[in-house]
Amino acid sequence: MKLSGVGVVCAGGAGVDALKVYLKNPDAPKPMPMGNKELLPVLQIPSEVFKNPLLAPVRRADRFSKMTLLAALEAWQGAEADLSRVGIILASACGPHATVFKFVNDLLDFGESKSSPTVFSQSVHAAAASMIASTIQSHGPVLNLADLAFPFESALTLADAWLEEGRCDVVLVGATEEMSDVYVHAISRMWGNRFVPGEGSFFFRLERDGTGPSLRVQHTIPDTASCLLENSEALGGASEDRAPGTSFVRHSGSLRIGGAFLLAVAELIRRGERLVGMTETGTVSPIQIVSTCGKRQRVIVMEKDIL
Amino acid sequence: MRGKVILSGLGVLTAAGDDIASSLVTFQGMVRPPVVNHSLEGLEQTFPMFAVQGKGIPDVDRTYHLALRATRQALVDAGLEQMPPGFRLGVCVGTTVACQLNDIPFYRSYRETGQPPLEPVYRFLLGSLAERLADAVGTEGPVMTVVNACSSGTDAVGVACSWLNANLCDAVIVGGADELSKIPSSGFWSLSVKSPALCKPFDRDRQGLNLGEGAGIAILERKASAIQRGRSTNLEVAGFGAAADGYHLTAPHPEGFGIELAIRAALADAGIQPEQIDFVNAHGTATRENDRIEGHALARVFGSSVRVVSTKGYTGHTLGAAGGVELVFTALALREGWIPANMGFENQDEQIPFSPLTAVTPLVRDYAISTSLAFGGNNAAVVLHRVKEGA
Repeated sequence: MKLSGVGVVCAGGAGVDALKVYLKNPDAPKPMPMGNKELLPVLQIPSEVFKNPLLAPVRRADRFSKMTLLAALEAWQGAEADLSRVGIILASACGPHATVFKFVNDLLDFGESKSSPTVFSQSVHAAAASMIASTIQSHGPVLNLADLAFPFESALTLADAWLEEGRCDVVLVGATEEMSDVYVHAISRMWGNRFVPGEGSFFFRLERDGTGPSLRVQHTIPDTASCLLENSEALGGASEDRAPGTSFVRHSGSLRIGGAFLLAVAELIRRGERLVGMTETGTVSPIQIVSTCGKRQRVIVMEKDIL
Repeated sequence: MRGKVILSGLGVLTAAGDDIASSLVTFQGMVRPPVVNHSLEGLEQTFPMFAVQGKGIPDVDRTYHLALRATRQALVDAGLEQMPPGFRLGVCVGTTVACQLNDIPFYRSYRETGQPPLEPVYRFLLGSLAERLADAVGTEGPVMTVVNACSSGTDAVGVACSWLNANLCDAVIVGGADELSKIPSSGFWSLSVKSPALCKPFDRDRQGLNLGEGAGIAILERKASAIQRGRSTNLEVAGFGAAADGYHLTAPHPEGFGIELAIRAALADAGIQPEQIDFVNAHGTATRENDRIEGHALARVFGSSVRVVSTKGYTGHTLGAAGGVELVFTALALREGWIPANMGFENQDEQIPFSPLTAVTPLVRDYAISTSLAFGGNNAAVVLHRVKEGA
């Protein structure tokens, strides 16, 4: 499968250009305290991101849906496709859990009879991808998945299968994770300050053929001679049998969908951008993104044309 | 479909029965299971709900235990209690409740004490529903938990077929599971789609849905793999289709545009014409809108003489499990040669161009289709085929 578009919403702001600036600034990452009682530094999405005029039609949507929609629309820019053959896949680990807690909060405060149908609707995992389909008017398959180990890598694998079997001409595949007070509370009690949690949404427009770099997902130990990006640190995994790759966890925060953040980073590297912490430049191929969970790992491989 | 995919094992657990045999007895006898009115603590109003009666299913982690029990049934049915060496088994299941960290006592304690017990969080972080099932059966094939709301179980079938087409595995544990939960119960009340009486799919006087719980699991397997194991069956997944309304977050497209697209895509994938379908196991939730819209879409594709059943009169709406449960029921109908009755139907709705089947009805053709519609305008359909001997 070929990569033809990228969309990003992260602590560095919205857009690939914002990510580029963010990753070139050695002082950029600024975790902000989050939480109710126990405050934990979190790499949060800046609030001004949600004032983007593109979000006006969905102003009542929750935060999870808004960040998802923004990233997806950026990746969709310039697409020309039969809208009945455009697929959407959204991966997450925890989904719109802040909205779930908001619904539960309302239930406890006001009872069932006054619970909000709007909040309930947005608490469902499928809501965000539905907004993408409604916005771009696509009618192909939409698939939402929620797993803890390799959600984004599973989504990429499925996108590849959809393209190969001819179910879709274009697949918008992405991953979104948000933070909430409740989740921060749980993390801080379980792991102290071992992690700086992050949040964000990352989308990729994929086609079967095209001029963009090719992508695949594999399970094998990466070729250490290539440019290696390390997601394992964000997941608490340690690689014992190989030298670790370059980690951007300082910029992404700890993210179960960190492979998606790194795929956006990989695209910048492919374009020849020299980023903070990188010794490799855009001349090294392939770029491999390794995520580890227990003894299992997934590797996203970007075979690239040198630009 | 690129290659033959068969259903080599089935397992199901709903209010209609704790397994396949007891479910068939319920259907054959046309007896609606007893409903519960008070199963969820703290609900302000009571609505009929269909609970699984089986003993030994704990309330904590209930969705996982429902799924595990149905999975074990299906693995036994498929002869996969012991996995052959090198066998690549994937897991793709749908759910709605189990994908959310939505434990109400935990959250109440968080609000009131600031120090809630963290067991619910640890349980959540043990793994998604599919990940935990994969661990339980000891497989390391592809794993995915589909969270497409009420079409999750049917969409999981599509994912499994794509995995098998791509040769990522030899077989897939596929389906869905969900438990009765106060969150969707309250949410559906807020949407005014719950019925105060027993649900009446496609009936003129239907008042809404009843919630249910359960799990429906099938083993989808490449036919060559099953033959190699000496366990082939005559039930095939012939085609799958999915489509988005691209219209509204909760309301289906008023003309059923997406479900019609999904059905036609599934028929095309199967390489068959609408008239080759014997019956439709419809989503048929018994809400005013779903049944009218789905009914029109079915009539447009299959004509007004289409044979339709909604099995939700026996099970309630099991949400993320529904697609898996109804996949199994559709397969059973093909296997047994008869279609269950659409319970609760009495009077035809002038706005729906057909009446569903109201009695146990013999099968006359060899294809059937199961449909699902969901929040977010997701629609999915799967075509099953009973292959006649010698074909």
